Amino acid sequence: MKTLLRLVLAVAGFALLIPAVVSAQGPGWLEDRSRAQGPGFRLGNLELHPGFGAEAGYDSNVFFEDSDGLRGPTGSAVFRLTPHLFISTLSDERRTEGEGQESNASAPMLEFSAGVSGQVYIFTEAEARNNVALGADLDLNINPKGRFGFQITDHFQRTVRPFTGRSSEQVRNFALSTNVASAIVHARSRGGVIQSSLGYGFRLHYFEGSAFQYANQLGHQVSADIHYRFLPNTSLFWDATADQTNFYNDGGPLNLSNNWRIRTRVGLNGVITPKLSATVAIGYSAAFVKSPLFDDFDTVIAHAGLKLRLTPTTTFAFGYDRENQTSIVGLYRIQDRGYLDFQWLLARSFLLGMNFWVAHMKFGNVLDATGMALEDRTDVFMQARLFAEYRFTDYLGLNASFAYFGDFTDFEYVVDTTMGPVTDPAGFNKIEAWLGLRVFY
Amino acid sequence: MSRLRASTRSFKALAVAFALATGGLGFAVAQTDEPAPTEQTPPAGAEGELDVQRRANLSPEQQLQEAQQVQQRGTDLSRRVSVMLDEARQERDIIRVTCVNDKLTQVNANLRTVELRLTNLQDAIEAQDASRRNHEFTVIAVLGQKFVVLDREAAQCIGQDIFETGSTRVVTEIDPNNPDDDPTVVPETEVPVIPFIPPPESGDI
Repeated sequence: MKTLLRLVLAVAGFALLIPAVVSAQGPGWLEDRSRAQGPGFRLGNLELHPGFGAEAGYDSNVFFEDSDGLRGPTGSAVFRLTPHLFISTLSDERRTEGEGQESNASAPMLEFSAGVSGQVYIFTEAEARNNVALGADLDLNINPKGRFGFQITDHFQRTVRPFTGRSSEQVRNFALSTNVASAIVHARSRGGVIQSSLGYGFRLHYFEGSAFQYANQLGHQVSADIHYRFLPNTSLFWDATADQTNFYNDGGPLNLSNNWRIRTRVGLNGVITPKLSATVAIGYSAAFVKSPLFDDFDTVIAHAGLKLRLTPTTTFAFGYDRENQTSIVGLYRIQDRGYLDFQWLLARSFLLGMNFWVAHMKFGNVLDATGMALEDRTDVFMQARLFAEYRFTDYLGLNASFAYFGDFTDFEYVVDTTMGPVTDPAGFNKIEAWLGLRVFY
Repeated sequence: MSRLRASTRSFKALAVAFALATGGLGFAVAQTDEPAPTEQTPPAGAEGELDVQRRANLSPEQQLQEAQQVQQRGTDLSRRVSVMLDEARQERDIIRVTCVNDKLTQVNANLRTVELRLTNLQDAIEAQDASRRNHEFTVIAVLGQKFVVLDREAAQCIGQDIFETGSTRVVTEIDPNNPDDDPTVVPETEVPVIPFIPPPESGDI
């Protein structure tokens, strides 16, 4: 459990720096390293965790098309092969309980983890390109439990699945590579009651397809937070980020401009009773756009959520949040979201999860290449996932997932085709189902 | 029928007799558990001295010797309580100083009375005044018992240790059922699985 906490902390440490356009399109277990890895092989002071998954699935709308769009939804069977290899310093369990346990299991001065993964996608739909997604990450944490610590992370991801409609039968390259590198300084009081961090992150988005390269961007983010911890396991916190986005290419159907987004909030997070946890936060966010064609914007942001532990292995969470997020369309968007999460672990071998959220999104000014304002864009986005995994052994699992994604909006893109400019509705409905086996150690 | 009633009466009588017999046996056993008082076993409070009633029957020489022992015990007690008082003062334990000082004052007052009564006892013996001699001896014997009580009370004087618990030590017990999620990891809002970006122009690849 401590390993899980540390990993979650490490991942969450730079989660703020991961831009909104980078989203997991791969198997769910890769998003949570604690699920992806088993006991592992010990190599001196390191652990090695290999794994491999093979899945078959169906995607009802590969290109996120509206049924009234230019080409309409296209479904495809999809096969996905997912190898991964993770390496890390010894977990807390191994240091304190397992083989070669240390007599004085004090906090290590150095924690390190790294990993690579691949996802080979094979579509039966001819217009979808078979391709290989990649992921790699590195996390080096020096003196993680000390008064002062330093952390370096790098997270690379190459996604290949289509993310928007296609206006012709041409097979297009939807590959998007994203790299986020960050450095974070941690400080904490002697007893750990007060903890703070200050970080810097550099990110790069690179669309490989020429049709999307106008949206390539690089960004800088400075983040800071302070936590005041108290019993039972709760903290009052303040955090803030300042995020600059630079679009370094010209062209494309949209007018894009460099911009700043700032965000700050205060709140409470943690345990209220053994069965109830809460997150309550309120803050302020603003977007400042360099081009005078765009309006600056500011808003209140908030988060109010409860998490119930119905049993030690059953959790149910729900809540509301309001956030200002970066976006290619409109440069930023305000998202009001309600969510439900349910997770049930039975006998340490069967995991059942449900995730549902619905959000109202209001985008910033959408301007075409000439600077002319298009209609305001407002979406209602819905996402529902159901996933289950049964573990036959500690290293073999059968997993299945079912997901629905829906975007309800009146907004229409204007797309140049060989027939001239035409409108293409931006909404879509999409269903995904997967069934597969994975081995991991 | 009459035979049945007669046998029932006989059974009741037998039961009562048995109960009385066993009760008596139990009482007898209970009595034999305690040591029977003997001439050699003095009462607990007298500490080796003869009880007041029997002291009055002592000869004048024995009474004088007994009275001198009481005086000696009073002197010893005064010295011991003085040492206790000094220790309490060195420890700056004002609560114990107050208590021990009170006992020492009483011991000394009683000791002065014993000395006075001892002189009176000697005078009564010389004057062969039996009535006065017995009276003085009885007073000295009672003062001797008072020394025993003061000795015990002085030893029971408590200090401020009982009130001062030292530096405060807080022991916090956290419910082991509390989730150990790190509260410094604040849940972040989820973003859609896709970027919102227009479809490509048909001429692009």
